[in-house]
Amino acid sequence: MVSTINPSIKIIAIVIPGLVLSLAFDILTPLVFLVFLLVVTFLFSGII
Amino acid sequence: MKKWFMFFIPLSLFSLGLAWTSMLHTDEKYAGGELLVHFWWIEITTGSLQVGISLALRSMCFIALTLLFALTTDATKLMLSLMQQLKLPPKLTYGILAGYRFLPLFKHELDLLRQAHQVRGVSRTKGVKGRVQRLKRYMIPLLANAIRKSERVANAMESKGFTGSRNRTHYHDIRVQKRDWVFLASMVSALALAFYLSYTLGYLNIFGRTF
Repeated sequence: MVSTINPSIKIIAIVIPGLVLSLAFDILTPLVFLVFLLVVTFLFSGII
Repeated sequence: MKKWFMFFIPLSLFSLGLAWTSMLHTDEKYAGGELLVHFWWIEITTGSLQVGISLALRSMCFIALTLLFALTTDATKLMLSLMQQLKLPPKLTYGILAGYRFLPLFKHELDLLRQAHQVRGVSRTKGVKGRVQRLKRYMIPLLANAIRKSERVANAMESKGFTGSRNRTHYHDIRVQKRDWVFLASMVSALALAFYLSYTLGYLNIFGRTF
């Protein structure tokens, strides 16, 4: 499904968390963020 | 959803492989803790297990982020947005867009070339040498056609007034709306929440330093 979000903003919204996340060496931080990403991907796939 | 799983599952297997490798070859600085598995030359400690799982989860996050972008973004809208919002030069943007549009045409032309060679009875020699010969036969006509097509497109664009100037109007106006900022804010907030949760529960570890 094609997104309604502006692609430039989407790039920024994906690159910033990706870069910051690479700093976290623990298990909980990427786990919580992965759960959030899965929720976003499956529940809001029509918008995002 | 099916498409998402088709990409996510094989890439996740790759991240599990990465986790296993890093578990076995963890830097001594991070490999401390209790010895969990000792079999032949394989030694897994709590430290190396944590490093492996963390690496796997992080790479899964990167995969999910990449799929979130790649599977939902229209290439034309992306290019127009890069030109209008991130101020990429129109010459570069339209060049990429034209190249992207040409890809299916090249595939079609390659099929035509193959069929034309087959009709003319050009022998299909097997092996690496045969493949190289075939590649040579297809490369020159494909390249000549590509140059001809790109010249035609460039001439058509110039005849319609394209100068490459940044001060231009757009038929498709891509705007930044409220929902875009909401999306950006929600992504940053979710990351901040993940860091905050780890910090309050005492798990936060940045470059081997626990906070």
